[in-house]
Formats: sequence, C-alpha cells, structure tokens
Amino acid sequence: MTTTQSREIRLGRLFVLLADNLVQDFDIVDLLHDLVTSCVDLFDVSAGGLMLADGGDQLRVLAASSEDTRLLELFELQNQQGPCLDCFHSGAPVVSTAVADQRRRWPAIAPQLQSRRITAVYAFPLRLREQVIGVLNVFSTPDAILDADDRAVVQALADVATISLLQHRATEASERLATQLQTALTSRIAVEQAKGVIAQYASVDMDRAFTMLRGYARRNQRSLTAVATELATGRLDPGAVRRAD
Amino acid sequence: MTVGTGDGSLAPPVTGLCRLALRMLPVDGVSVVLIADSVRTLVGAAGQLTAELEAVTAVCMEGPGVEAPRLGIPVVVTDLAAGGSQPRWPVFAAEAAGLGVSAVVAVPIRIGVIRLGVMVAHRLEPGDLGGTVSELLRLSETAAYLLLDLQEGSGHRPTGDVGIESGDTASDQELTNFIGAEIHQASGMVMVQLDIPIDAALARMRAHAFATGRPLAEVARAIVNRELRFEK
Repeated sequence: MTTTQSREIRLGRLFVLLADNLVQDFDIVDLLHDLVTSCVDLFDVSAGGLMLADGGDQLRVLAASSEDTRLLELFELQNQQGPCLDCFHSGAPVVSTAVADQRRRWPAIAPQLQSRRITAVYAFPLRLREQVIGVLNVFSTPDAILDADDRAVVQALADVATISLLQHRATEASERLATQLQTALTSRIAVEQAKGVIAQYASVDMDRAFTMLRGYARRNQRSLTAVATELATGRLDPGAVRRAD
Repeated sequence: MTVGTGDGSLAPPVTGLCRLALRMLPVDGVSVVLIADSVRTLVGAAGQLTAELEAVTAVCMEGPGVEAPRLGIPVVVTDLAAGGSQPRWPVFAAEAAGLGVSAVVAVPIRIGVIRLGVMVAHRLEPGDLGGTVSELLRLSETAAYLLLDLQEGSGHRPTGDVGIESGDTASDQELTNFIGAEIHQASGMVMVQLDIPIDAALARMRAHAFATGRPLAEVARAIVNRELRFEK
C-alpha cells in the first residue's frame, strides 16, 4: 500500500468519524481536537491549531495538536501579527513557505517559527457566508509542504469544523451563533482549568495532563467538557483520573 | 435568601458598564447581578425598572435571569406575552408583564467553570433585539473581571482605576490578561496547591500579582513553570 492510498483511506475514515459525530451529542473541544490531530497526522506536518474569534474579535485557541504551552502561545501571539490574523481579516487562505517571506511579513513571530524549525505556515478560514468565525492554522517543516490538493483537503476540514461549531448545542435562543461560539470558548477554558488541576496533582506537564483528562473521559464515555468541569469545580477527585491512567 | 436590590450594593464600575450597554443597545434597562452561594445582589444598573425586574426575578426565582446562569447559556425572550413564556415561567412572566417589560435577554457571567453572575437587558416593547446577545456576551467578559474584584472585596484595587465611568471598558491590557491559557491552567494548579475552590485560587493569584506589582499573566506563567508555588 502506498502512502497516498493509506492517507486517502485515513482521510475517508476521518470524514466518516466527523459525520458520525455530527449526528450525535458531541463534545466540541474533543471533536475539534480529533480534527486537528488527524490533520497533523495525515499530512505529517509539525503542528496545527484551531482558533475561534470571541465576541471582541480576539482569536482564541479552541483545539491544538499539542497542549505544549509554548505552542498555544504561538497561536495566541498571532492576535498581534501573523498568518492567522491576516487570514481572519481577509477571509482567504494564507500560505507562506519561505522563511524570508515570513520574516518580512511577520517579523515579530518569525523567530519563534524558526526556533521550532517551522518553515511553512498555512492559515485556512472558518467561513460562514460572509463572516469569518475562526482560523485553522498549520505549521510544517521543509519535508512536509502542502500542495494545492492537500490545501483543498485542509480547507474542507476547516469547513467541517465550521459546521460542527454551528451544530453544537442548538438552543432555542435566537442569535445562536454568538451563543455557540461563546459556549465552545467557555468549554475550552474549563479544559485549561482542569489541565492545571491534573498537572499539579499528578506532577505532569500540560500536554500529559490533557492526555490523562481525555483518556479518562473516553474510558468512562463522558464528554471532555463534563469531566473538565467536574475536576475544576472539585466535584471529581483528580486522584480518579490519575489512578485510571 | 437575600435580595440585594437596594442602591447600597451598586458598584460604580459595574454601573458604568451597564450605562455603556444601555447606550449601545436597543434596550430600556441593563443590569448586572452578582450570584454567590445562591445569593443574588444587584451590583450594576442603568435605565428603567432594573431593580424592579431583579426583585421579581429574585423573589420568584424564575425567568431568564435565573435560567441563564443555571444553564450557562444566554436566554432570550422577545415577547413575554407570547406562547412559551407563561408555561416556562408562570410567575415571572406575569410579574414582568405587570411592570411593563416585554423582552428580556440574560447572559451568564463566567470564566470557564467560575460562575460569577448574570447580565440582563430588557425592553418595554416586544420584538427582535438585534445584536443584543452578542454585544452582551462581549460585555459580560468585562463584567466578569469587574465581579472578580467585587467578590474579593479586599479593596486592593481601587474602583477608580477601572475607568468605566469615562465610557471605557476595563483596560484592554487587564482583559487580555484573562485570555491566555496559562491563567486558567495556573488557577487549576493553585486550587490543588491550596485546596480551595478555583475562584478563590484565581483571587489569590490576582492578589499576589497586585502585591508584587507583576502582571497576572506573568504570575500565571511562573506558576505553570513551577517557579512559583502557593503554600497553605
């Protein structure tokens, strides 16, 4: 089996997984984490992150391929400058595959990209009609450049992410979109709070804490947000998450 | 249950934020209610009938102002006289209509799992409230920051600093402080270090930031990097 074939099969599986999720009651942070990590695995890129605009048009990380604090910071730094901000403003994909180009366009973040051996950056808009609600950001090293076909697939994943955000927790309230986006961001904050609880309790880093949190939620067939909320409100003993790990 | 609707509980910065909302939105009244241990306190109000509407909400414990913080999502009613409201909130719908209120929007004020209260806007005329929900959601983030100060109540941050009265929201720097993931991670860590609820943990971090003159984001980073640890 060639790499291309296996990628197509994996991609097919991913779309099936996403479609399955969309008809059930799903956890948005968990689903988008799957989407971002699958995207990184499929294309063998370094890292990916999904940013969502809050009410004040600040881009905030909703899901990332790694919970490494420095990586999360690199996504959020782009509120000042970077491919995400450009993509968010223009509504069009942003591609830069040359370090010199990155230094010129985004001098403030270029050094951080280089220190991570990132030479190519991509930002794909999460578009809803005329509105851009967020950005899917992908970083890669020289050996994993995305060609036009790859980029079309990643844009399709960004479109699925948009649909999943809109479907999430339909309420009868009007102005559903603002509510849904805010709910997703609140879930993400609860996940961060719970990561801190586990990191301190089990003396692990944030990436490991997230893996433990997610593993516990999966094994107990609970939503990531529900488990995170219980941990951060003291209703679930972090010892349970560590014991089960 | 305490019903804090006297003027004595109003905080100038929160009221300033309500005034700002009242100017921006097609509504007749805006209020902010702090909810701590099920005790509701009206801490900010601008426009008409705010205290009256909160008194009705607090007495019957129904309506958007109760449901939004309970469910953690915005609750919108564009016409209290229309079908759904009466069975949903029989007492509130009748009492609010008696005051002359027709439309109500309530959004929860929270930081992740930290629940602080609710922001409510109402209008005498029924009908669509335009972009009220998204604007209130945006303002509720500022409100969260202001309510944290009120909850701490230690007076270490003079309310005059906030500059709401001049029509500004709390300084952008302070607000973006709350965006970083590290702040939320660190509050989870301090919660375990001190064995206290997460809102108290965030309060301790802010008090430390203030006492040492460092930005909150920097304190949070030191905690996450295990360079700073709180002791019981």
